[in-house]
Amino acid sequence: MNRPRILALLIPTLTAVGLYLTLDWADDRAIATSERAGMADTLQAEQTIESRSKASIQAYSQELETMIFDADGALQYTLSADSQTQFEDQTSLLTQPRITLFDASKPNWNITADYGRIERNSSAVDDPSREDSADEDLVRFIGNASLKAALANSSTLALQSSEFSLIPSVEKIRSDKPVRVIDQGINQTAVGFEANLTADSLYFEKKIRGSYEPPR
Amino acid sequence: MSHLANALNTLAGQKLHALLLGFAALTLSSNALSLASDKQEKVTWEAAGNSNMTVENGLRTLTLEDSVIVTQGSLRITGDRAIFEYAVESNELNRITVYGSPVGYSQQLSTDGENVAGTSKELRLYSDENTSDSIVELIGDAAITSPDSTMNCAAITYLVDLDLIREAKGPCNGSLSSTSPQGN
Repeated sequence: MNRPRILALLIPTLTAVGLYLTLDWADDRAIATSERAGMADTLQAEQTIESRSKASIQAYSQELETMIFDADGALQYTLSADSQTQFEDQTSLLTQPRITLFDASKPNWNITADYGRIERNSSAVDDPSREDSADEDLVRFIGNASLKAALANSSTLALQSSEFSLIPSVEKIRSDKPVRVIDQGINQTAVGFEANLTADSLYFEKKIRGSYEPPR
Repeated sequence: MSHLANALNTLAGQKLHALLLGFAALTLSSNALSLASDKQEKVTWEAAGNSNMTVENGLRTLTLEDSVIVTQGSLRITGDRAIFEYAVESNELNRITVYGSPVGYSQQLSTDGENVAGTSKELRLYSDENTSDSIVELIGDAAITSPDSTMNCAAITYLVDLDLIREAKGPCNGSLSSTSPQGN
């Protein structure tokens, strides 16, 4: 076998091995960084495994700061997170995600959780028959998910759940998990909810329990 | 007798409805006042069905569906659907309206165990703007039973703090007595 033919076989093989090792290193680095950030609990592990099984890592970043504008150029929301791991299937895992929704250039709602996942396809929304189901970005907040009014918002509403999903473009939050809402002496729990933040309306699905403390 | 004087003053200040039969039933006893502590208690609720909360025109509205139970101290209201109305600015619970088939209402009147109970198709619970007295309006097939009386009317307005039926809209039937309680 002559030398040029051997080289012709060796070069692509070495390139493939190099690519594999690079991606594997990036994958391990993402996991190691996550663990350093205190993400070693079961929940995150499940989320990470689930996402890794779908697709390979495409990118990894730390101290994420993103500003999203609507079609008219108005600031729609800001997204920040300690880290983001992006996969080839266009999903992203976030640690300590923080989203601020804006209304007329003023911060309106703050949403935080331990972890987050951004999904970008129609299957991300549970019910395709709903008006906002078509190809909407969806941010899933996992672990200590919380919604609070921003300083510029006169509302005192606060909402807590183990997990909920946000559709930023329509400012809707929904979940089938237990939720607690607190607002001006009202404290209500339920299972399953949808919050329409633009319309100031909350829908709770079932198992409603609540209380109201009269002002003294 | 001071209770009676207060009640009469309250009556004098009311515009009686055109359809009012012309009587207001007054049932008082020395210890027949609702538990004063009830109003200071936390209002609690539960429902098997769904719930909506909206804010509009300075009013927060909370709606509960299916097997609704509302309590405040000894007060207990059951029904199929409840609507709570809060003033957003003052954080006051202005009114609770409950619908049912029927709505059930009960409350302890005194520490010695006397109770008032009622049923109707619709119940409204709120405080009088002037006196802050708790008012229960029973509307549609209204019935109320207190230690001293039983009354069935189209609608009954009951002053909880005074154990006073302020207004009864006919047709009515039942028994009124200041001495002996009547059965259902």
